[in-house]
Amino acid sequence: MPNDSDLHEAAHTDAPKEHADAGKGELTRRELIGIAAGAIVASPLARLEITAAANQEQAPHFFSREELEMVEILTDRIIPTDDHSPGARAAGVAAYIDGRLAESWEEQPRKVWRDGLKRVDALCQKMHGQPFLKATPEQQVAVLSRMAQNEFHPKSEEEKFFAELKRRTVTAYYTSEIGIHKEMEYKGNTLLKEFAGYEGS
Amino acid sequence: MAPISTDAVIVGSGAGGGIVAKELASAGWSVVLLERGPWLQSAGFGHVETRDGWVTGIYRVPFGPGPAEIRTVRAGESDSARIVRPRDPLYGTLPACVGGGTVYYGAMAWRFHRETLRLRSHFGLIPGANLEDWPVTYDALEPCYEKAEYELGVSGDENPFGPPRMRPLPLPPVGENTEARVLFPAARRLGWKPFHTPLAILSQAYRGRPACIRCAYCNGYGCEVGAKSSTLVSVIPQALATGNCRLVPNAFVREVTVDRSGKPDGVLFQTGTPGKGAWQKLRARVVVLCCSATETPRLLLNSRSRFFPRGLGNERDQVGRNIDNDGGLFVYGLFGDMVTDQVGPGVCFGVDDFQFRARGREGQSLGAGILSNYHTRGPLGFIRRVHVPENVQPFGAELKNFYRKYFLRSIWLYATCHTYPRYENRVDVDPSVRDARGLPVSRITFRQHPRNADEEQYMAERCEELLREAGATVVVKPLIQRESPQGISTHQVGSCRMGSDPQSSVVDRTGRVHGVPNVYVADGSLLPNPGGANPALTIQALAYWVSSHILRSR
Ligand SMILES: Cc1cc2nc3c(=O)[nH]c(=O)nc-3n(C[C@H](O)[C@H](O)[C@H](O)COP(=O)(O)OP(=O)(O)OC[C@H]3O[C@@H](n4cnc5c(N)ncnc54)[C@H](O)[C@@H]3O)c2cc1C
Ligand code: SF4
Repeated sequence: MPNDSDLHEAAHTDAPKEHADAGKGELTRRELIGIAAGAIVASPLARLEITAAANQEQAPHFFSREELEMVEILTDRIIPTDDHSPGARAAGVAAYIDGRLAESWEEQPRKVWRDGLKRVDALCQKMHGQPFLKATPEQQVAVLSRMAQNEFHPKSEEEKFFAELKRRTVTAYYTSEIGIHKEMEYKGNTLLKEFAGYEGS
Repeated sequence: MAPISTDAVIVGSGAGGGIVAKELASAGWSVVLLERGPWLQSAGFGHVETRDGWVTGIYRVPFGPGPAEIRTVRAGESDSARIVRPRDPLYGTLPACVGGGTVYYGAMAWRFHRETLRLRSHFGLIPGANLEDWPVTYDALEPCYEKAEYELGVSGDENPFGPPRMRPLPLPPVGENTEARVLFPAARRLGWKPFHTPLAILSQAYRGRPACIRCAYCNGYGCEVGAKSSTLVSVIPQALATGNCRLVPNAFVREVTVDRSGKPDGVLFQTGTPGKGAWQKLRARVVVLCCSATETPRLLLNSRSRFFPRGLGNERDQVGRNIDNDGGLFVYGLFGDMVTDQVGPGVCFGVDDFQFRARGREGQSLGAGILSNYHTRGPLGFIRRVHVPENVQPFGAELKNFYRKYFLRSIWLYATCHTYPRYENRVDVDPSVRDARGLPVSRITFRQHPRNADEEQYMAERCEELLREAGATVVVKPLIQRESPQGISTHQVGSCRMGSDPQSSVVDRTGRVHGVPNVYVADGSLLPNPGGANPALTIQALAYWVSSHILRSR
């Protein structure tokens, strides 16, 4: 069986072995209530719109204002705006992560993020003599590069936090309107009504 | 209120349970189908990856099991077990909803090979593996496979290496996606005989349901049009249409009860929020357990009484043993050109040249398995699985470009293969951990047999060979670990083994629990071993088999 975590995840896909977030013990209270409620009335699913952008207005729920700003910068450096499409900031990634953490079933993920952001600040202080939000864009990139240097075999706490930061960023971005449609130009979200079921018929 | 009374109560409405409900109700039996999960409607299945996806759903998913449905896992008897929640990689989660696993499944509908039902005779004694020939032969099961294929509406080509069949599949293949253009010729250049995979997906309108509209969200999603033949849209509506079957969703069953003489007489169940509400008794002449290979043993073991102090059917300590799943792995290739598109279901290419013909590196004979291309993936589905090469910047514009570029320039091959069940692998109930209802939870003890790695290695090499032949510039194989302690997958089977000898099995060849006159099992638990392919069609063929014996028991 595959060892490497990404591929391990992929190994049984038809199986949910690869599921990441729930796997990290992050199920929300609201999910529980939602399921229990769904359990009483077997009604068709409510069509909730759950995209990153939808969370944006009310944030932050968990982060402080400074933390939210740090997460905005960090996530936007991971998936930046380019010629093709807007990046993580425009897609509301930080607010999405904030919402998920606020609702988490477990305490652990919130701790990981609070501690992780403190470490990012401390690393920036050590490297450049100032906190992350005061650092120049180049200095911020240098901090991220340091955190990312052992991506596949993270050792230090900062390196481990990078994996978490990236995983959440990517999850939020590529499930947002911008990520799915503008960046990936994916059409799968619309039913392909024009297709006949069978090519020969 | 007097307890309701019925001819048969079926617990669990998934792959197996849906079929038993339809068979018994059609024969005129009064049937109650109890399902712990919600009754979702096809029209409500959507395409929001984070909400509707089995794999990617992270946020208020509509299906169960809910986060309170904990389990414990460990690799061996001497390890301490750890609590896991649903959809943890080690949990072995199957969906809880009417239709069970078949609502979200990929609908690959393989028959097992003849040899798969007699592995003990085929391989002889293999140290550390608990192989046993099935008490049913392939030829006896063949009509049941056919019935499943015709009632569900399986589409596809004749498999040139498949086991013998009396009738062709009822439907022609669902259309190809663009991957077929590179994979079919490449496989033929290697001398293989590729064909269009069998899918429980309608390629044409069939028995009142519409054809697949080829949306790009199939595996891991409910089908909005009802073209994927889950039991939710195929056999369960037929069962209800007879007027003899009552379906009760959100009804959790805790135990099978016995009367004063020790004969099972029904079940205790609860509806609504776990831990709230009263336990209700449902009387039944026959009880059929279809809760999946990880929940049926729990239900048996939690059914303790003065007559069955170790749990129902567990006098010989066999319940839950030998649990296993087929080996499953992915190999993918990155290409210079656009090789894939956004058309579902995606799976269309299959190769079955290797089962029981393959040889390992030391010349040992292998079971090996089947390879196919894989379902269409949305962006997150792709990104979660792709391994970004080390020469690509781990963040920033380079990373973003890599994802965009290779999203449609990659092909994923999926291989399933044979594995070797171990007696020590087991699902039982945890002695100290209880759920919100106060009931002992399933405890899974699981470690791979060392030979599984040889099977996987063989299939990974075949996948690589094909991708290279097809022109992939980069091929990424999984790292295969011997005796991996990783948990049981959704292809879980084997925990209430079917057999003639009560010393080494839980149910007899008709699916009836040894030593108990009226309790049957009809789900993945029955299979004495996994095959070289996904199990659902075999589970369903056996559900027809067991149903026919239940009907004869009257
Ligand atoms: C994403 C995904 C993709 C898959 N793809 C494929 C594929 O392509 N091909 C294939 O062959 N297989 C596939 N599988 C596996 C397949 O779904 C399972 O093998 C099959 O559903 C197992 O059938 P079963 O009857 O044993 O259990 P299930 O189908 O899981 O049914 C068990 C039912 O019992 C209910 N239940 C459990 N306990 C209780 C209780 N105490 N009280 C009341 N109800 C209870 C459950 O909620 C569930 O509905 C896939 C699975 C998943 C999740
Ligand atoms: S690909 Fe076809 S069968 Fe699959 S979910 Fe879409 S419409 Fe349904």
